[in-house]
Amino acid sequence: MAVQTDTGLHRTERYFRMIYFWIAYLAALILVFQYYINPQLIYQAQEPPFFTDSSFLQQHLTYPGGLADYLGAFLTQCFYYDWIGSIVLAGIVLLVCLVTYGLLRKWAVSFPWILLCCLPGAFLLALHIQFQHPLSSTLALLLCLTGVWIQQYFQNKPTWLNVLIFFILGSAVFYLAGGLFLLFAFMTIIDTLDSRNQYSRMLPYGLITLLVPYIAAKFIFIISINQAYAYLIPGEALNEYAWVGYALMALYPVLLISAKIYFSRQRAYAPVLKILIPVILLGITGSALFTRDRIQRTHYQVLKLARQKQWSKLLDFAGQLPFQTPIFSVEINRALYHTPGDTIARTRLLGETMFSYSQPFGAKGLLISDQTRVHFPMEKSDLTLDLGFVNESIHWASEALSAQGETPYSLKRLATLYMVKGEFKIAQIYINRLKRTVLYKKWAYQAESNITSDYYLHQDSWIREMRQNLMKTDHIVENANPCLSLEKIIRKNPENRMAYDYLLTYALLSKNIPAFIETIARANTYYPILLPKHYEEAILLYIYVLKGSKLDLKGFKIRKTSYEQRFKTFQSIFEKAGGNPTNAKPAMFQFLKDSYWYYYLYQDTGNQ
Amino acid sequence: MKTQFTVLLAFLVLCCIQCTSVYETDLTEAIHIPAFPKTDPDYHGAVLPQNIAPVNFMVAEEGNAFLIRISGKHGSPIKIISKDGRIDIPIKSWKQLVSENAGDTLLFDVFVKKGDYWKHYRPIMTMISPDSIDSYLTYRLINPAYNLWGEMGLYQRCLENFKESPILINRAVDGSCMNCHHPCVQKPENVMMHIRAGQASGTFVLHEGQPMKVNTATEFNRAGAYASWHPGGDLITFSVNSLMIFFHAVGECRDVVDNKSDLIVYDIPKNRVTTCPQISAPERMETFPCWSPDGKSLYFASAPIISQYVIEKNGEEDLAYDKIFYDLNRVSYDPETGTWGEVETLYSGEEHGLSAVMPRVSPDGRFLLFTVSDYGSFPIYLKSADLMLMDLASGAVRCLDINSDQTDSHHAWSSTSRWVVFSSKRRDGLLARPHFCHVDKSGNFSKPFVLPQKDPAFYDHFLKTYNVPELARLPVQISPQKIIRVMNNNAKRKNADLDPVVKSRLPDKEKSSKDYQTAPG
Repeated sequence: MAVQTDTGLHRTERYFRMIYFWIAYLAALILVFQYYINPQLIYQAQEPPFFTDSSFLQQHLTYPGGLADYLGAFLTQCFYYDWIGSIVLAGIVLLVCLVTYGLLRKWAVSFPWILLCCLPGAFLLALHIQFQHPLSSTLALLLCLTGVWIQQYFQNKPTWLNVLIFFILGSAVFYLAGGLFLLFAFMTIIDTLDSRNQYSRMLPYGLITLLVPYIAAKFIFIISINQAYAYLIPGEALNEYAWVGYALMALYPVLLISAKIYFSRQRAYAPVLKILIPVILLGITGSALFTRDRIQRTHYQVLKLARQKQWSKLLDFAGQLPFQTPIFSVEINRALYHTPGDTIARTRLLGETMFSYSQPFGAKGLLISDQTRVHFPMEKSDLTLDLGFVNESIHWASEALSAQGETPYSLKRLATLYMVKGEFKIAQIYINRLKRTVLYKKWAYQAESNITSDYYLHQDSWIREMRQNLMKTDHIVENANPCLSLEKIIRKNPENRMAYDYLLTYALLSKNIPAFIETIARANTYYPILLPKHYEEAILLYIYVLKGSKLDLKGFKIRKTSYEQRFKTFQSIFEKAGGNPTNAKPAMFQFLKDSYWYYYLYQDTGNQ
Repeated sequence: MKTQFTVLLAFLVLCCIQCTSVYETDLTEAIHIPAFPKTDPDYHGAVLPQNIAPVNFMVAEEGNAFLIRISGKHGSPIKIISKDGRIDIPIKSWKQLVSENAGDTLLFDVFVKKGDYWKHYRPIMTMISPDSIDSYLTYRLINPAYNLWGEMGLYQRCLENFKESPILINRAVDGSCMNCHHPCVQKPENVMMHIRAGQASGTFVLHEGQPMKVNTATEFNRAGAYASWHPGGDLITFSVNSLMIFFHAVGECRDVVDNKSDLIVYDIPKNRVTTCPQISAPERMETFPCWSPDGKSLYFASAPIISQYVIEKNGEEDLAYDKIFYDLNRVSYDPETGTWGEVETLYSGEEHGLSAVMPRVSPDGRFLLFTVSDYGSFPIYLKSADLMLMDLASGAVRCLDINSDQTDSHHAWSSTSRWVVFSSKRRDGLLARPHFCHVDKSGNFSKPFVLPQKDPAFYDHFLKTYNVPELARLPVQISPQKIIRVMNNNAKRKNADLDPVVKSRLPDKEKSSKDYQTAPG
């Protein structure tokens, strides 16, 4: 009796230890997802549309893996809020580990090391750390493992029943989880190897495995054969790290075989395993954390901050960037424009400090170039909207809608812009669509109440401002020559200061000083007191270095700091270098690398 | 248990009786409103085919209960009670009522309860035509098209019910762009469609039950775009185009100009592409072919070549795209010998200051329906696009009063010539929806009605546009899976040969096909 009590106590203690372990593991996962990955960046990278209407669900019922996609799209909406996203993601990874634990307990007579069950968690961490890995793929894995777990219960049934169950369950797994069916089938087949009727089951199992996806693609669903076998397989959406997904797929058969060979009998674990398993787990987890792609993370961080208009945060972040891409430059310059500089002179940081940031792409880093905009249609829509091009913003938001799906962000943009244009019937359709989303539902109802009358809309200062930019006379949008479009919008709304600053900055970045000088003549409308620093530098360059014709500064005075300190430094560096720019470069870099002069002399315009 | 069940059943029956009697009592005292109720879609005054699906609609009047009574001279009326104004007509009762009243009028009595009082509006009237409409409508569903695309698909909808089935969805062909499916009116078992980009890229042709993938590009042309089946079923005439999208700063952003176009004829049994100066004149841009039902005439639109519209503006070359007016032409053809006659102009774009495109001859050969717009050959982006009808017997042309102030375009006839389907953006100005009209023998068009949907509020939130609707008597006779297999199998792709006669006329082989591209539908 005493012995039984001891055993009971031991079991209870073990049970609680296990619960504590899983709680600790969940907490660790949440913290990693929250602070090391950040689900908001995953949302930024994927932004899967989700609608609460039945037709959206019905669309997902038309192909294998659709339900996993549907559930994944729904749960990914939680990633919009970082903590909730972390909890959801960690919870799903934990579930995968728990089902793995359940399976290992079934496969092995002796109790396996709990740490083994955390191995899939490490692989999933490595996948989700890539931002593009869809949650639906992890959910499909969970569904597949659940299928394997259910199949276990029928292992000892007569062969015909077992095969029938395999067919029904396998078909269900295929329908729910797409290509993960193969993992289900493979594991079930391996599991059969040591059963009594292994040979009689092997053939029907094999046939079902091959035929279910094939028949589905050939006769039932509108999918290609490749999709039938591979859809939702982990890593499918990734390029460089696709192998992590395949390794995860391979892990389960390895675990199963190991469990069957090593743990099938009650025996003590080899001491080496006590060390080896934690080392392997730590190694994989550590490697997983190291696979975080810094470029990708930075990329989505920049896009997220720009979308949320957190300009000062974006600029802080930009200061730490070890590299540049055209879209980074665009967003940094946009942030610089939106951040006020000298409050008295009403300058913006764009004209004051833009050359403190690297501008390796020249004008292509100001306005999104032809090559870049195809990949960033919504960012193009954001920028054109800032500049007051309502039609162009609609154009690019519509491109985003077509190419990236009906994301709530693009739907909201289109609804708002059509409200600006006074085309309420069109705006209403986008609002109706948004009413079926999770994240923008509230906004949609509010917007709907506003568009009942143009009067309410006119109270909105942003809409009033945008309406001032609306063109009255038509012109063709010149993508090849953005200056023309900027000029036209300034003509329509002379108060459009951003268009004016971008026109000047475009000229600076293109090193087109004559165009800059021609445009700066109108500066007193926008800068009644002082010009921004880089504009002064360009003027000084024009007057003293390029010996341009006489310039009417219309009362502007060049600041002392610009002329006496910086320009004189520039002149003395050049005098010392004998007027040779190459010789002057080290000193220029040391003292004036944040000046327009340095950019003008040493950086290319992004066209080379 | 049994007793409990009986009591429950009796209770439910009593409740139903009570409800019905309440409505009956209330309705006799309903206040008569001398106006038609606001409904969406609006079917008042429309002529409906007797085989159409139930015309579900929303009552857009304020109220807390709605009762609709649909009645005709014959048959039992249908009563529908709704709390939110959604009127979902039971299909079985609808079919019966409509068939019993073919050639007669159906009345939709709308009662709206507001507070404690019922209001009775003037009944909505629809005419039920004894002329049946072709049972299937095919179309492409896409987001409003710009440069990029994502999900799209070709679908067919049975007009007799609400069943929509895919002909092909682009997710199965690497997300490629697909152009619209095009049936042969006289032989509906023959169909064709394009897939652009990716492994499956090419033209799919289902000819006499035989599916094939064809590359219609030759030394003369790139792959064909807009198509028309010859009634014989062995020839398809294609346009080959060089379309370019551009964007406006005001109004509808999108616009398209065709920089170059010609017509080619693809002979399916011979796998040969041919053309002739009448349909590919060097000084003209020919597009939008349409065969006459007897196969002895080809209708098409054409305009002078693009270089004639290049003007000088502020010292730079500019294209006067808004001065390009297409004419409607006809050329005779002898199917026996394959010889072409002289081109005649039926409608001069220049003369009318309008551009006329998309000619479609009614299957009885009596009428020519076409689209006119302010300029160009891409009317779907132009608000000015309207439908016009030419009586081929008299040559008289008239603008149809079915047009709206928004785009009305992409029209097609039913096989009986008694119905027309067209794409109209009249609901919102952005998304094209299929609208139907009855056409009598004299060419009188009834008020258009939109394609009925199971959910009457469907068009309020559906963001895809219905592109190039076509009517067909039969559904597409091939499964999507088969189309996928055919299109993904490049080993069996047929590369069309160019007619040696055309080849010998080619002035400069280098110049030839590079100027063309396949056109969006």
